[in-house]
Amino acid sequence: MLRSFPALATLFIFALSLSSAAAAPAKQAESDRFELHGTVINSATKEPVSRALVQLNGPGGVAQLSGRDGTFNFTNLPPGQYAMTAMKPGFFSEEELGRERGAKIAVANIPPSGDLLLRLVPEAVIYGEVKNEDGEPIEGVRVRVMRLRVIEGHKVIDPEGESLTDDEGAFRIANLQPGHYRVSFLQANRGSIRFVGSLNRAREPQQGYAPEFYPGVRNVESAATIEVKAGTQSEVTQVLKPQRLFEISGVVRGGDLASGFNLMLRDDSGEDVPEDMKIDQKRGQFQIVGIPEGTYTLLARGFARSGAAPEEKKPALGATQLIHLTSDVTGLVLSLEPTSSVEIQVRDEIPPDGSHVLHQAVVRFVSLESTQYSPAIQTPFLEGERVTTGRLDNIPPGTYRVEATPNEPGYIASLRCGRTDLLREDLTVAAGAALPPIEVTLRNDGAQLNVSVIEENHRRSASVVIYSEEIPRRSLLVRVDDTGSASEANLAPGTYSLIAVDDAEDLEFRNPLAVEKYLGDATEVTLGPGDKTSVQVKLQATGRQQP
Amino acid sequence: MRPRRMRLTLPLGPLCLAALLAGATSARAQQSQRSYRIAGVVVDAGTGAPVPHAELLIPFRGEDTKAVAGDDGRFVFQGLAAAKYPLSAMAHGYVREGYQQHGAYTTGIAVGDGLDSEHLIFRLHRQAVITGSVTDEYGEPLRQAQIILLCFENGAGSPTPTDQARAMTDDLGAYRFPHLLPGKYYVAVSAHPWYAQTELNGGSAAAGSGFRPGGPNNASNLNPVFDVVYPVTFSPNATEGRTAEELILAAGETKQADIHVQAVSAVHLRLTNLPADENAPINFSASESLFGSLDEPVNIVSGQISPGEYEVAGLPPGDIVLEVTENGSQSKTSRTIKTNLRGSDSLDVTGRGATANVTGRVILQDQDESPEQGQVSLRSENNQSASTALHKDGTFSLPAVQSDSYKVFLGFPDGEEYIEKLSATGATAHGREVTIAGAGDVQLLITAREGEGELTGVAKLDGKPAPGVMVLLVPENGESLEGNSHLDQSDSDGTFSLAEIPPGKYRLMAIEDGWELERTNGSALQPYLEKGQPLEFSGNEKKNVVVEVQRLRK
Repeated sequence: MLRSFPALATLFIFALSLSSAAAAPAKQAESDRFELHGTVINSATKEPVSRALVQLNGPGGVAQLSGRDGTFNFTNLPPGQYAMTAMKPGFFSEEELGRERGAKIAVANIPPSGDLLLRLVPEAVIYGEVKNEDGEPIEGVRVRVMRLRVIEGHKVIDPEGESLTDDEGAFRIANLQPGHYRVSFLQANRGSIRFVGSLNRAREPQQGYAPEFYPGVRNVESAATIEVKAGTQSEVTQVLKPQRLFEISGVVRGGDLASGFNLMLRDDSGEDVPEDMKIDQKRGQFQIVGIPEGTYTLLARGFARSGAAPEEKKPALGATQLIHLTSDVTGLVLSLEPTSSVEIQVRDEIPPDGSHVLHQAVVRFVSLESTQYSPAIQTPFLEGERVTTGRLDNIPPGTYRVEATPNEPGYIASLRCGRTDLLREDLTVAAGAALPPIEVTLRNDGAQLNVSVIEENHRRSASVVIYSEEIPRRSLLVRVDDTGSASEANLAPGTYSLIAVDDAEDLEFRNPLAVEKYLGDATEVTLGPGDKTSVQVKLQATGRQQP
Repeated sequence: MRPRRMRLTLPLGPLCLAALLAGATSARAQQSQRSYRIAGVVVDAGTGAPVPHAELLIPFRGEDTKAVAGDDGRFVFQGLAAAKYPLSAMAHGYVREGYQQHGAYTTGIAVGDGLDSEHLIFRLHRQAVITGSVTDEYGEPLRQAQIILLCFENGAGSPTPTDQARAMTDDLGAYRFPHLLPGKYYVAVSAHPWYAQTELNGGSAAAGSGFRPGGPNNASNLNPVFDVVYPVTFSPNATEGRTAEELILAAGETKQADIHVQAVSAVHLRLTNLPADENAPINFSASESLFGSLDEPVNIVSGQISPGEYEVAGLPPGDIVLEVTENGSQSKTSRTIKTNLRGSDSLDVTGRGATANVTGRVILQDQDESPEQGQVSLRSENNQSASTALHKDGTFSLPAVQSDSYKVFLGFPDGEEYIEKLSATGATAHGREVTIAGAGDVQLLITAREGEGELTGVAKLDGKPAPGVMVLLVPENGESLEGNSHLDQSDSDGTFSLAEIPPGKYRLMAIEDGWELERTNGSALQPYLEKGQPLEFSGNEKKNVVVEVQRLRK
């Protein structure tokens, strides 16, 4: 009988912190069958978690529910490598939390070396009530929580959960991961779009509740940030004041209105405002009612009249109108104009030795005004060609961060649109403007950097920001685990500051203002083309507690 | 004012409040340049005291107009064109209801010259509330479980519960039903154990996977701990309607109804003698039968395990309604099997009760077009049903129909056809019903005609238009009162309208406070029928009548 044990029964410690507890060697049950036991614990209270589903996937899939004392005990396991998960409603596995820690599924080798400890992170809850000025509950308010996080060094706000207030004005949103949240309040049953034959004026001035953020502010940027920790419950009370709501109405002109157009109203933080909208498609008339005072952008999108070939894709048209709303705005005229298109040219600068074909890249336009818009295009692969082109159409006016990612190992040597250096600047697209082509230059003579982190002469796990002061958008974040170092290849030649911190999850590492305070203790390294460099970096204190 | 009409002619059943608030747009605008007002006061139906700050709503032609009552309960809508408007109100601590609401019917407010729409007294009923929380077999809160609120409506006749509202438990297992009318309720929870894993015993776990000759019959390594379900459970822990807790709520009352669920072994049902045609896959859907009349869907996994043999896994024990749909290349046929499951079992589909092979033809009178896209369905009071699409020539075939008495329904995408005549060979036809007894071939000939009648009119009491009275049109022969009656509530100008009336002889009655009457009970109606107004409708006929209001006899 073939037995293939690893030399030493190892427990890889990844996200689930499979740590070996007191030495209690595994019993060898039968000839080549083994037992695996352990405990599921609540990472916040360290108490055992009963009735958690513990699943072991490997040579045979098995599962069991942990006992009242949180323990599990698998018997009769054939040797081999197993992926291990624990789950229970109201808890997250650390792997689920998806921290930028190289989180992977936990792997256990059988035979094991001892008892296992599986940690589950308890959910957080935001709950509270919504009242009017007289202290009466307001029913049917849509309460949403949005999570603030940093992805790829840029700040984003993601919706994470929502709830309607009940007849007592109460709401409760559970299943929240530890993190930073903002809370918004919106009168429900808004956001209907109706197509009508004709429009009539609103009969009476409307009163209602404006969308608000906690604690009673109109703008998401000035909303309070609620930090929730694992296993906590945060209470939020919001008082809404009824206010006068206004109307925006007018007409959309130009293009082929019969084939449809759409309207979007955005507030000054770039969020789409869900308001009741009526559209008379034939005449191009629209009426949006129930909008509170504020500054908005109204966007219209439509299509050009199709010519002789109706099957041909109709080019898109667009119009934008800035509105400072302090009373009803009527009689607006939105003239649809052609939207912009841009050609993408990707070339490489590698000598034609035939070893690399590098001309494929993904180019993405990330709108800085709208959280919803970020079209991307991948240039086609052309055998033997050194330059490929693509085309991105229907780009509405606005400001964009343009990002490029090579498809093969390499780096972006330059990214330009006419005179705009897109590695350093944002691209502003005016209505109907003709844009010069976006030129992407790729190289594969990047440097390789090996990083390890030390604290008091010991290697340890950490996050390392590879920060480029010259071109902050080239900065990267790598995870170093405590088994050794991390390696990053294809770095553009240049000078970098290496910043090692415990947790860079909320660090906007591509924002010079956010990084500035770390630069004093950073380790500087200059990389030339093709260099292979190893650097040891000292851990900095971030002033942020580990969760 | 009656609720929005449904396209398919289905048995008239009580509708829930939500349907009413969403609908009721049948008001007719009249040509008038003048503008009018709707005004009145919102009062507590129990005490008569004004209710401050109620929110009033006129949902008219897809547009909502709102008004908020003042501290004295008074409200006013201005600038209204002459028309008939639905009106509803909501206030903290009260039932959300339509003006003079009874079940799904309300009194519409007629606005125009010579009509008084400014002295309304809107009586709101103090809400009853049911709250509670759900715990599982380990005593832990059951989150994201669906809570079903069932109620028994008064006057609807047969005491069958209706599905009134749904709610979802939160992370504490808690739920809440506010804005309830006083009455008799039940609450039940429909949920799936979060840790459960439903797999087929007989084959692979792939749902609905086709037959693989000699395929892997991997002996299930599924831990029986995980092959479990929660049967629908009523408060406090009853899995059958018979033993469910009755929640009788008075106006203003709040009752707590906690529910405890217990996971039980899932039933695996093996169905044999089904067609083995690989090109005609068979789909299954299952529901649990509550009170023998309400079906709550169950999440199941099903698949063919050998030719003509299927397995359905994930079923709870108890009364189950299984719908078996055979997807033929031309049409799909479905049939409903009711069974009581005690444990995993095998069910010979052919051996279970006799089924008749029904074929037939639908003839559309006075029409050149063929009955394309039509559908014929048979439905029994025992929830047996079979339906199929019509072929282009109007013929249809339902290969396995269980013995029962069925009502025959026709559905067309845009038609209002009614069944003029139904005849059968191999079965007994009477009216629009057919009784199938035993196996054999049954042929149905259905003659359908376009154009159902319409009745409009005014209900008058002592010569004056009477608002808010029940208007009831029943077939002269008194048969199938629940299915064949037509119902409305007179609006503020005494007017009413009834539609989709198949030709035939009827009696029309207007009864003050008639909503307290058990209107589907022939003997309860008898004293009113005598004074009822006889009416006969031919196809497409429209009538307008004045009906004298009868007072409720106590």
